[in-house]
Parts: sequence; structure tokens; C-alpha cells
Amino acid sequence: MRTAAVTMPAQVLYYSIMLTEAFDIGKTYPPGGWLSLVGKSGPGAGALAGVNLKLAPGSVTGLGGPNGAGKSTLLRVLAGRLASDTGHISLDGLKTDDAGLRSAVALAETGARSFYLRLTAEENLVFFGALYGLSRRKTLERTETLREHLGIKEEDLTKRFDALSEGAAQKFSLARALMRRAPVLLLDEPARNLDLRSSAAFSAYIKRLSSDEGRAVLYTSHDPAELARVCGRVLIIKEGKLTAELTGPELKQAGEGGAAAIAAAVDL
Amino acid sequence: MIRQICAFLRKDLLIETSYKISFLLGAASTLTGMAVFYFIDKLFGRAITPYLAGYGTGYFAYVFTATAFFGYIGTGAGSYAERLRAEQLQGTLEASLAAPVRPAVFLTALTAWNFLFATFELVIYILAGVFFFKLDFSNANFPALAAVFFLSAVSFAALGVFSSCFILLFKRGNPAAWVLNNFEGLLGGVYFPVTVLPLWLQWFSAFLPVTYAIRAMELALHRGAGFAELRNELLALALFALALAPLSVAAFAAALKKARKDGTLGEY
Repeated sequence: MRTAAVTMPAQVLYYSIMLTEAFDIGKTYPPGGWLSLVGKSGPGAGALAGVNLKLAPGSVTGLGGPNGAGKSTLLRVLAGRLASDTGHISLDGLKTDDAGLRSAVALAETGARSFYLRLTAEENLVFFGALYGLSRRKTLERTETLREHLGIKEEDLTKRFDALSEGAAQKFSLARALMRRAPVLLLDEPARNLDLRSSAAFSAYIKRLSSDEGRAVLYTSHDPAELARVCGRVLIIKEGKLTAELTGPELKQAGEGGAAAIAAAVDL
Repeated sequence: MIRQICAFLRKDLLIETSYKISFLLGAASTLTGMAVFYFIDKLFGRAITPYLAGYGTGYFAYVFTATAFFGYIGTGAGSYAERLRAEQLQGTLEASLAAPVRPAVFLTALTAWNFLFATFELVIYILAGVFFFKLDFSNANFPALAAVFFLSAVSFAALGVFSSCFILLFKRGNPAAWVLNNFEGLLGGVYFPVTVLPLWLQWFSAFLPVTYAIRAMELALHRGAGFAELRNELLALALFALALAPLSVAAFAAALKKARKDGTLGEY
């Protein structure tokens, strides 16, 4: 599916549905030091080794794996924040560069350090919204909608960012990515720091965004149960390689079966 | 582009005014520095008068206007690296650069607040010069002065952008800023005309844009020198601006690409 201008409801026309494909993505972090500036240094730290991946519109794909397996690196490459050493990424069949990815892909990472701590949460969102071309009014409208879905307390909007709890900061990190309404959404451990209720509401919202609005979502977590609950397909990455793919029947086994299957794949 | 620049301006205004005492002291320190030169003039002003004959003014008026001017154009030299470093330390640099913002727009937005504040300081200087220190600017050639300001600001901004490349790649340790801070004031004629220097040092000063900028500004302001009289200085400044501006933006884009490749954009 390339674009859905004819078949999608009017309110969804804003989004351009995108098929994201990654081919043979490899990444090694340089070891640092002066020589690395001219590309003449020793071996670096391998992070990704030939990853091939397809994110279809309207799907939530999970990404599991142990610490240091390459999950965050893969997300940062797909978001255009980190340049890969090998391979390429295409959107709707067209090879794209980092700038193209940054326009089409929204990445939500954990951690409050990417916000201005002396500004309020709302001022932060207005600032980042403007960088993505959103007017103040549009940002505030979208924030209001997201506030309900993410369980953001109204009073948190006017708190300085350094006064927020970790959970509240995480919700604003998600809001910053979601308010862009990018066709491709990358969520790096989005439920981390969220309480059970917020986590459940967020999972439901992500599934709805995917099914109703056709967004392609890549969702990482260390919690197999969370991946089984939210995702229609789960990929396992280890030492920079995709080593397993679990789909419908395996994931949707009764009871804890789906989570157990993911846990087993991670431990293999 | 305008929205992104305004967003940075608003964000920096909010952050600066959140440090209330610092903001007020910054504004007040503009004038206290001038009082020092006022009394130096009282003490030593006559000794330097022969060197100032060509400018048609005394030492205090010379150093007052040179300091005000250098303060403004020096903003271009210093603020890119300073703001970039601040964004690195806050952890917001990568998040800001994740937006689809072109390097030239990002650089303009990054330092818009510094230039606005420098303009405010310049206005204070002018008002204090006219009403408090009773300086006579009636001979000023404003069109020539405007051309000197523009070309100097572009040249210095380009030097500042070069300087910020070091911050992007090395985080700390900025040889470009070191040279600018230590030699521009000494060799460029900010605190005394370069003719005071020994000949071999005057030879070095010919390679600095500040030398032409200060000389042209002083002549246009105090003696009313026009375009014809300032053609050598204006030509030198135009050459510096034309050569350095595009090179500096290209160097920044290359440094940014390198940081994205190495995955060091989020490091500090």
C-alpha cells in the first residue's frame, strides 16, 4: 500500500501511510580518539550486523532482546538520528536518506535529559512542536488530545520539567513523539516508568493508532508479556542480528503462552 | 524557518529570564566595563592621542565605540560554540537536531537570542554614550556604518560557526575560540589602534577581519568616512564574508554528519 488518500477517512488523510523497509543495516561505533576523525582507528563496537526489516502500515511490531543487543541503535538508525555503516532504508519503496527519515519517523526515547529542564512541560512541547512546523495552537490542541490517552495530569503541563516525576516525564516524551503524527512511530521502552493503569491505556492507544490510522509502529520492551499484549509480531535481536520472528499463533497462545514464547526466543 | 527561529528565541528568553539575577547583572555589567575605560582615559588618554589622530577622536570615544562594536560582532564569534555546548550539556542537542531543520536555519535559530541581547546591549551603549558620557556621533556616516556592521557580523558569525564545529566533534577544547578570544582583542585594535603595535605584530593583524572592521567602524563613526574612503576595509570584509560564510556552514554540515555517523551527537 503506498498512499491511502482514496480509501482512508477524511480525518486520516493527514498521515501518509508508509511501508518502511531496512536492508542489510550494519553499524559499528568507532572507538573514539583523534584517528577516528579521519577514519583511521582500530576496531569499534559492533552494534548491528546486517539487519533486514519491514514495518508495514497498520501494524505494531515488537522488538525484544537482551541489553546491548542493538535495539536502541536500530531505532536510532531507522529514525535518521544515527547513520548506518552499511545498507539502506526505504520508505514506500523509495530509498531515503537520514533527513527523509527524520521527517517521516518519530522516535520516543526514555529519559528526561532531552527536554529543557527549566521550562515547563507545555513550553517544551510548544518548542519541539515548532521545530516540526506546528503552530502553538496546533501543538496545544494535540497535547490536549494526547493528555487524555496518556493519562497526563493537567497540572503537570505547567510544572517545570525538572519537577516532574519520572513517569510524567516519560509521558511527555511519548507526547512529543506522538504529537507529530508521523506515519512511522518508533517507541523505545515506552512503558518504562509508567504505572500499570497508564501502561495499559497507552498500549490500547498504540494499537488503535495502528489499526485506525494506519501507523507503522516499532515497539521495544524487555517485558515479554507487554510485547505479547501490544504487538502483532515480535522480532528478537541478539548481537546486532535479528534471530527470531514470532507471529500471530505463537504470540496469541492462551494465558502466558505468548510471553513465554518471547522469553524463550530471547534466551535461546 | 521563521517559526523555528522564533521558537528558539522564546525558549532562550524563558530560560534566561528564569535566572533572574543573572539576567539583570548581565545587563548592568555592560556599563560598568565602560567606567573602567573612562578612568583609563583620564589617566593615560593623552599618551595615546597621537595614534588616534587619523580617527578624529580621543581614546575614550575610540575604546567605547570599539568595545560596543566588538561586543556586538563578537557575539557571532562566540555564541555558536557557547549555545551548542549548552545544548550538549542539557542533553537537548540531539532532540533539536532530530527535527527536519536545515543546518543554516538551526545555526541562525541557535544564536538568535544572543544577537537580540547583543542588540539590546548595543542600544544601551549608544544611549549611555550620548546621554551619560556625552560622546559626539554627529559626524557618523550611517550608510557606511551599516555596511561595516553587516559585513563584519557575517565574517564573525562564520568564524563562530567554524568554532562550533570543534564543539560538535570534540565537545570540549575549542582552538578556534581560543584564538578568537586571545588574539582578536590584542591584535585587532579593539582597545587601542593597531598602529601602537610593533610592525611585525601589525603584519599579523592584517590577517584578522576584526582589524578592518574596527578601523572602518571608527572612521565611519567619528570622521564620517564614506564608501570611497573605506573601500579597502569594505573589500577586505566582503572577501572574508564571502569566503568564510559558505565554507563555515559546509564545515558545520560535515561535522554534523560525522557526529551522526559516530553516534556522538547526544554525548557531552
